[in-house]
Amino acid sequence: MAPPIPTFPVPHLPLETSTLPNGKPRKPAIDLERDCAPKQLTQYKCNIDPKKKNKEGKKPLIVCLPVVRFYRACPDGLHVETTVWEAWKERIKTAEKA
Amino acid sequence: MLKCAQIGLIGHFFIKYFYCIASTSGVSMLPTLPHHYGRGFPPLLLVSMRHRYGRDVAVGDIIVFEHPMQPRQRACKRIIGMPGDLVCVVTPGKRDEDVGKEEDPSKEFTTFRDDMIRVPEGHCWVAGDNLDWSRDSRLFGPLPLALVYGKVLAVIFPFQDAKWFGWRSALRDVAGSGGEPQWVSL
Repeated sequence: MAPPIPTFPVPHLPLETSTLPNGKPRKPAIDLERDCAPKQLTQYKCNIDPKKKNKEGKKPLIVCLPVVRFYRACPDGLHVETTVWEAWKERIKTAEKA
Repeated sequence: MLKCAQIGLIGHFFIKYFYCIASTSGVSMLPTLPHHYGRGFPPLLLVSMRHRYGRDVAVGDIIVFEHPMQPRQRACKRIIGMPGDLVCVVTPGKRDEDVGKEEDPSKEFTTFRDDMIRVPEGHCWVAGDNLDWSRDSRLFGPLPLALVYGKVLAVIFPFQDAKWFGWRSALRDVAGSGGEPQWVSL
């Protein structure tokens, strides 16, 4: 088993991207929005359709709802998942406008 | 006799270091990989062993690996993060006792939390495509790259579900992704 990994809150993401895994500053520094291309990966939540699962002798219908994960692919090969960060950023912008 | 031994050795070399066919079971990679319930023969995958120990694998690739919690059992999941990458913390999927639960008002299952982690060196972060019914890095943590057997290139059986994943990453450009992802029914 791998050792426990510390988590950090989403607002600290720019700070984490500006440092290397060994704690040293990343050179040149990365700006997620300016330097890293937005990407997406689609996964799913598949469950048996509750309306059709009780019919005898018939195969249940499995319905898969998409779950889109957003990434930023940076030039040095770093991939940062920004699914929550993008939503958090939008919330901040909306709050500032209001 | 010598010829049989030679053929056997060449076959072993090819299967061990180049390509092999592996079977899979379970629902954790639906709808990307088919399940085998009610079908008899399990689905077969073409696996590239050139990617063993995590060589040249990338975010979005589907890999076969030795399960870190169940030694000698293989599992198949998608890579979400490579060493040094930053990934979101997502709550685990459902368990056997949650089969009857249709509603999830408390957002207990497969919910993105406001926390992130950095994938440690020498490891990757994996998740099944069927996030609600997958036991993956959300349960057993980062996966050592040394446990990676290979990368899945294609589904070759059943023939109606055959598909080629190829060498390209599953990550798509947001702008050119071809519209919103759709519901899938199986």
